[in-house]
Amino acid sequence: MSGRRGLSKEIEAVIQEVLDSAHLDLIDGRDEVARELRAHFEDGLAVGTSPEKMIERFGDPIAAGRRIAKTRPRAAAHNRGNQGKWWMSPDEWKQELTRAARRLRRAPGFTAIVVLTLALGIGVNTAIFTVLNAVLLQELPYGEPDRLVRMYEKLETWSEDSQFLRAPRSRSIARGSMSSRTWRPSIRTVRSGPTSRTVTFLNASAC
Amino acid sequence: MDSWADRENRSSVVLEREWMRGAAPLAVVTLLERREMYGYELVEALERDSGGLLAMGQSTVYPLLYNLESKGHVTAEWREAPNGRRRKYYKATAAGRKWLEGQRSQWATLVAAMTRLGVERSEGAGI
Repeated sequence: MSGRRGLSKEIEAVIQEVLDSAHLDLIDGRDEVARELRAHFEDGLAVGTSPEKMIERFGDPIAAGRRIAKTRPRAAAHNRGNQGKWWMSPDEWKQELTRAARRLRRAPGFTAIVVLTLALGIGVNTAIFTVLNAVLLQELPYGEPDRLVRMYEKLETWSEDSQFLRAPRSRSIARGSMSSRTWRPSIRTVRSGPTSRTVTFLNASAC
Repeated sequence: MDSWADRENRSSVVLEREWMRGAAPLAVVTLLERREMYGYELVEALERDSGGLLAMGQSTVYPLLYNLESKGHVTAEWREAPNGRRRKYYKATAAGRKWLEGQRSQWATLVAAMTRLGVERSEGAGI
């Protein structure tokens, strides 16, 4: 029984099996590969090899298709001049994107892993940036936050270290209502590790 | 042309896959450097000119050619053959010839090194 161009149905089936397992698009040269494989069998038959022997010598069509799937698209891209090139025309970009979308559709498992990986990566990065932005980059939610200070107090009669000034007392000092004490600024150099800073202190003394 | 039985008896040595993977591209570009060939012709020439050692499943030659094409080592063109059928002819490019020179140099260096190591022995002694 003969198929197209005088090739037997068995040979046509082998060629079809190669093409099916290669999953090539037109842009990858699917038709051209089909033509080349047909020419291959025709050449073998023309020198007197039997169809059965040609099929045997051809080898596993599924393995051949898989190998062609890996190599033929790269050759087609090279011939189009698109391999490793980003300055393609809009039409070329459209073709490449369409081809990429088709290939992703044909491999749903791979596509799912890629999408999940991207989603996880984007999510984690967004979360980390949100925290860093709030803690380190954004200004504090007060007017003139660069003038914000933390105040401590230490009385000479205290045996313990200086204490963080609580809000009510801070507000009293800010209003100047703590009239029973005199606040006298002094400038001192504070050393912390290898660095030192000049800090203004408010020394308080009872009137 | 040799018969199939002649071919089957020609070489009793079968190259391991890794050797074949390394040698086949070099052999293909070497043949295509001499003259352009179409797929079936190339498979036949590989088998015949290597004494059967580089006989491969015929389907193997096409992925090999596509890979070499993607690297720019070979180029292909559809043309009408004298018998009127259209065939895809492959030939080595200038880049392919340059690559081949580099490969030849590496091959010679490898053979010399292996010989110094004593891997190559006199015929009949085996390895």
